[in-house]
Amino acid sequence: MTKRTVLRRLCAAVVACACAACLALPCAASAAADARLLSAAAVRPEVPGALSSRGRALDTAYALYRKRQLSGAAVTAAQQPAEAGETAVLLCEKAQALVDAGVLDAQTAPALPDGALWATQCAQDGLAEAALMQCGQAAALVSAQWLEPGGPVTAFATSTPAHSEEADEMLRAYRTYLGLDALDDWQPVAPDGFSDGGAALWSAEGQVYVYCTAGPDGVRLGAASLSPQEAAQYGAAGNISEKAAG
Amino acid sequence: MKFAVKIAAATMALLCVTLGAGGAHSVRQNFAAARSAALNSCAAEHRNLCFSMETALADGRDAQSAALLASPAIAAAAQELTGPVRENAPMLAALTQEGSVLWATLPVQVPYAEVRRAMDAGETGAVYCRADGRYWLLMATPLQGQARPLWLAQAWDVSHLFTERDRQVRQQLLLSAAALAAAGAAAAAVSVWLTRPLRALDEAARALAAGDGHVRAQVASGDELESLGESFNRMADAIGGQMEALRAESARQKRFVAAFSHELKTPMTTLLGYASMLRQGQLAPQAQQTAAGHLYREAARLEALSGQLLRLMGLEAGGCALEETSLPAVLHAAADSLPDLPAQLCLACPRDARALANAPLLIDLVRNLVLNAAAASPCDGKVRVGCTEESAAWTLWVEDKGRGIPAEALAHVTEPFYRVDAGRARSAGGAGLGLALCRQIAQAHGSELHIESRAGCGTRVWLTLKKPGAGTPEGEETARGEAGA
Amino acid sequence: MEPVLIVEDEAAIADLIELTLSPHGYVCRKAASAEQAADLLDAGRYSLVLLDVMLPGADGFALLDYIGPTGVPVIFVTARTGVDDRVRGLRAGAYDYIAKPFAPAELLARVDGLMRRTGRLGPALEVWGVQIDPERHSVRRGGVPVRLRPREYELMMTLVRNRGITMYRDVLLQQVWGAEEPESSRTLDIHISRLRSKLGWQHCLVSVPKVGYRLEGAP
Repeated sequence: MTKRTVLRRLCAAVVACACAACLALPCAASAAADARLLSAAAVRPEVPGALSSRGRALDTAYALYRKRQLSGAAVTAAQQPAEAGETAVLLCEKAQALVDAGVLDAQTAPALPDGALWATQCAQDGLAEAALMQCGQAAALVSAQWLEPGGPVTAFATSTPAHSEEADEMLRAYRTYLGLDALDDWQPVAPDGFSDGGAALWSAEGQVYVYCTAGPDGVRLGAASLSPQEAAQYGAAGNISEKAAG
Repeated sequence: MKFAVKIAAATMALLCVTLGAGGAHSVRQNFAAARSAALNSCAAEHRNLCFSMETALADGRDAQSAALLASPAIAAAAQELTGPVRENAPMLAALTQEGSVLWATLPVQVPYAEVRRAMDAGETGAVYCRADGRYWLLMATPLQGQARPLWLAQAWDVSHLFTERDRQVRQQLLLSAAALAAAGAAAAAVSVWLTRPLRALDEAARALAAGDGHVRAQVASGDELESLGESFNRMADAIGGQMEALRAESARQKRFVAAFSHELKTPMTTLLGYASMLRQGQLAPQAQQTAAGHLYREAARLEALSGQLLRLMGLEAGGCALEETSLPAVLHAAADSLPDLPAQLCLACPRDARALANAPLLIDLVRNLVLNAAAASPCDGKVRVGCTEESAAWTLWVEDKGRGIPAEALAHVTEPFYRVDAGRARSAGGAGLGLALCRQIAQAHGSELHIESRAGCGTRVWLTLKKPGAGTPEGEETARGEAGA
Repeated sequence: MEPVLIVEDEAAIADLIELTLSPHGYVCRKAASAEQAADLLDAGRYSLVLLDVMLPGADGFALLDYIGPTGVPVIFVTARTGVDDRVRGLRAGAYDYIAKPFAPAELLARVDGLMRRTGRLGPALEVWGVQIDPERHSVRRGGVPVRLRPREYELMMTLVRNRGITMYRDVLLQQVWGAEEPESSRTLDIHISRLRSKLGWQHCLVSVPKVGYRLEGAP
């Protein structure tokens, strides 16, 4: 066998081996990938719109955020009829808490309406609601929402008239009561159906907004977790998504 | 065939690489996509589960109750979360910061070490592990807002991702094999078809080497192979031409030798015959005289023949020196050397005609031509010789109105020993070399001997001679080159 | 016997043939061309034609066609010795073919052979009262068989073939004894005297002093 023949056969063998290796590449690659996968930790995908660390540090903001993730910001469970007296006591408690915190005036603290009363209660994922209504000519409403168990009041509404100028002050006090003063990026927003005499603020870091309206129709204040996209709809400005991620 | 194999092999090698690399890439992409989808959904599920757990354990924020109610509370909450045992119930484990398991519904195959690894990866990491032939994805997250740090770990069986990937790899392998087989066959067929012109050319070349001078390659592929075929045909033409020339030369030499040996036989017969007679015995004086006379004449004939042959070969081998010569002097010298010419010689040459020539050779040429013309028995008894002036040369011509040369003999008449009429010229003493000599002399002068004749009408023989200081007469270089053959 | 016609354009060769044949009793006529030959054939009868193929004018083969009907045998004499030419000649009806250059003795032998075979010559040679049958190597003198030794027979045949010509001694020795030349030339003389006595050729087998021996031609 001449040298050239040997060389040629060697080349042919090498090329054949290379081709076989190429064909086997998927197997080899997958085996190598498996080994890598099993040895190193993977990275969980980033959640868009996750709550910032400052927000998480605040119990209220976190609890509201959690509620929103689980079943939305509002309580959507069906309202169960409840015993009026018990509900009234509950609502008085909540009102008192707000008064003690300086959010509500004693005067604006609701007076329990007389007459036929409807009471409902419900709870969902850490948020509980109670409402007391009197139908008839003198329709009145008191309702409250709070974090279970024994957490701060996250919404309160009463049909006792109040002065609209007090809305801002009430809002500030309410914010302090909720412990959300640590957040410093509050910006005013205007949710739908807000008329004059109301104030609403939203924080990107906490993804939480607080609102207060006061007027002849009554006082309504509350807090809820709000995503940056929804806040933008309400008129929140700036680089919301970046703030939310931070 | 080997080249076709090379082409086919190259194509298939390329295909191997493409299929291998492409297959590996696509399988990897698919796997990564499936993994990230699984990871996304598992992470979302895990997050919600953590939130639910945190909500359920909200009581635990109370530090006092925490220590007392921790484990049962956790257990209860977790139990509630996981719900009844069903097919895809979440597989959870609640652990302390240090790693002691408070409650778990993790499958037994998942080793504890992997759960620890998941805890080490933290709330931004996830861990894959393989146990008992199945693959698991583990995530562990610290629960927020607890009295003491609590971790929730969750496991998912992601074996289906891996089996799907393995199935894809197998499918890729089968596909590659099938594609290679099909492509191999197609490539082999195409390359055999493409190399058909090469094989045709190879056959044509072999046939040409074996001696078939008329073989030509027919390639009409419209590419470089076609131009190669045309080049081959040109080469074959050239070779064929050379072979033809060599054959013609060899045939000419054979004819020469045959004619020469034939020429010798007649004088040898006479010489041998008379010599043997004389040697046998004493002949009568009359017979002796006859014999001796014949011997002498034949020997003289042979001597003349050999002399002519030598001159012929000498002229063929080399040229001769040309110098300015007076043409009328040449013609007169030739005329003077033929006092007994049986025809009347008419000279027509300007007095001042001068040309580049070799005088003795030219005289010989004129002599030979005149003798031939006279031997043709011109009807008017005249042989005309003259010179005509052209632009750059002199034309020297000899004419007669004799019996002429038949058309078929015209091409051979300058061949050595050729005689139109076999018998007559021999008896007149010629050996058939006269015109061959004239042709050589004409070529030595850088010209060609032109013979025009019609049987029964007459013959005209002419050649051109250079004027002194002028350029070459027609067709010279090639003539000189052939004169040496 | 009718004359032999020699058709040959080379005078030297025609003379040579005539010189070779005539001492043996063949009368020769010469023609230098096919036309002359045709004329002579018309004019007289001939026993043999010796024909040269390469004739001026008409081809020798054409003359052969002309001779054919007359039944006269033809021997071709020619320088063309290619197989094709020989075959052509023999096919065309020639009896034999002799190539140039030829030895005169060979020509004579062929002519004799042909004459004998065609019956124009008696089967035996008749020379000075001795009948020789070359084919059987038998010799009769006046009808009585004579016994000759091989060398004597050869010597006799050599002298017969060259009768009329004085043959040189060394030529005789060389032709009869060949390579086995005797030490002494007296052997030749002894053989000659034996021949004279056996055949009765005392007067026709002449010794030429200082030259050789001659058997007189023309009986």
